[in-house]
Amino acid sequence: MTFFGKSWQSRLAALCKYIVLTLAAVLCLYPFLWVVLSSLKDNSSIYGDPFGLPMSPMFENYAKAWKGADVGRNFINSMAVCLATLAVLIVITAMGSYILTRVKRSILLDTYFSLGIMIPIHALLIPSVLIFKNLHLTDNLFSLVIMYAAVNISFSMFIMNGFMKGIPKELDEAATIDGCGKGQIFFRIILPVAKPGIATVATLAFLNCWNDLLMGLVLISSPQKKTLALAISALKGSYATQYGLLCAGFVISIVPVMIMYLLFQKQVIAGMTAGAVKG
Amino acid sequence: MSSKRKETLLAAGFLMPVFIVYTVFLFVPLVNTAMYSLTKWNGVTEKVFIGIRNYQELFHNADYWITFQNTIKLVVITLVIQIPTGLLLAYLLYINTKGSKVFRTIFFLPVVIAPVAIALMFSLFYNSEIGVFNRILEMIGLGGLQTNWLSNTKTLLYAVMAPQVWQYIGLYVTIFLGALQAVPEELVESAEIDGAGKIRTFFYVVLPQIVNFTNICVILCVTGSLKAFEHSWIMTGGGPGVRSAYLGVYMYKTAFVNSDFGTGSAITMTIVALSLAITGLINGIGRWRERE
Repeated sequence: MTFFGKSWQSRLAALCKYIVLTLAAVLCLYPFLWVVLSSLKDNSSIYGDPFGLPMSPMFENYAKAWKGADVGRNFINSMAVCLATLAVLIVITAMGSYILTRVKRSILLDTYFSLGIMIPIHALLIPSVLIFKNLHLTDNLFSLVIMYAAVNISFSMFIMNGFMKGIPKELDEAATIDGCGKGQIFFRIILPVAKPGIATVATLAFLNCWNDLLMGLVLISSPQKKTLALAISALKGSYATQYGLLCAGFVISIVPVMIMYLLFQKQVIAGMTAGAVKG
Repeated sequence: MSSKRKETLLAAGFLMPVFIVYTVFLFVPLVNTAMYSLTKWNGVTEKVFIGIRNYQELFHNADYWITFQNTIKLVVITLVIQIPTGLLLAYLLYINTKGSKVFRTIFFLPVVIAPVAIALMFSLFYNSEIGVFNRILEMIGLGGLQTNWLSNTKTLLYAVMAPQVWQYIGLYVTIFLGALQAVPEELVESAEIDGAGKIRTFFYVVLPQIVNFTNICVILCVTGSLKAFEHSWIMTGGGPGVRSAYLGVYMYKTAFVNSDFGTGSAITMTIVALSLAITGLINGIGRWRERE
């Protein structure tokens, strides 16, 4: 079954296969590569030699974006909002899912929590502006944390339930015999065992929060409170002709997501495809 | 007895936070949007109840139908391009390809990047000054096709759709690859032993096994298009007028640029209704086919 033992047709087929796949891979990666290279150029070398390597890499583009355009602050805002959202989301969905899968089953509540999967974020924009106005949290990053937690509950419960159902019942029973209450069982036994589920929820929710634009557009207005997604969309207006700086801002905005993806690829793909099947 | 009560209390306590956040910040707002859609309201003055007049006006509104058509075009184009391409690439990865994990990692990469960032990137590519697309066309001898992609009315809408189509192909590759890997190997092997070639095996043995996943992909294409916002908003602001806007963009413009919360809510409700109806329809067809 070696490559060279095959007929010329199958070798040709294999060759075509790799050509198509490589071409597709290049189409996926090259745009990013172009932006990364351009982020190290000045305007004249982007005009003059758009496909070449940067002759004298301009790392100051990054400094300018981070400090001058204040992308650094936006980066910290985004990170803070995402981490706070994950903390809230994971705690409340893990507790809820524990009850609904292992203590008191309720088809009614399962159905209720799954409804949110079908709700596009657009449907929440207008009311959320009013809710946070009434709560005196207008233009406050805390409002984003709550909304992001709310919109991620449905899929988080879905994934979390899947993992919690898979944990053997005997674990709870043994713990009960040893004199553990339901609360202790949750913190000491279920939570540590459910780690893979939590990791999947965390990864996916992080991507959703980091990448959101719409909720931020309607809830946040002052520049120093903007998340990175908002800042990037604003860069296009205020730095429209400083292409190197624009590209540097782009790179800064995607680096955390890239790292997250490469580290937790398994969780990202498991979560995204579970998200697909649930539709 | 008291331990039973303690358990009930604990269950309530554990369920309460998620229930409250979900109800107050997701469910109630949805109901509110439905109610706002029956009012005339700019967000500041008193709401005036006007029944279904917002909807009646929408259905006679040319802008609404333009964005509706743009959305349907996006659905069709994503269906026609993303699903076959996704299936083809997934199949190529599935048939004993060395490095299939690396390829999958690469194909999925654009999916995780913020649509805002992708839109920014493509607006640089379309840019009339540094425009990479035009340069590439020139390099491969198609200089005659050069145009100002985001201002030429013939190319505008497709230029706005392109990044979205490009970005999410990897999602379908991954879903189909998962589906293909779940097809029992004996089936494929026995077909090949019987002398069916790779292509015939694919169409007669593999494809029928994964047809259910096609339903999921169609639903994803439809709901994804109905939610589409960022690419259009960042690249063109939906303009000129609403020429390159989808329903999502039109809703945002109506509610938050023109401060018409009533009509904005009505547009939202049509988006919600459409995605529920189409998802229900496709699931229904899927179930009906299974029973056949």
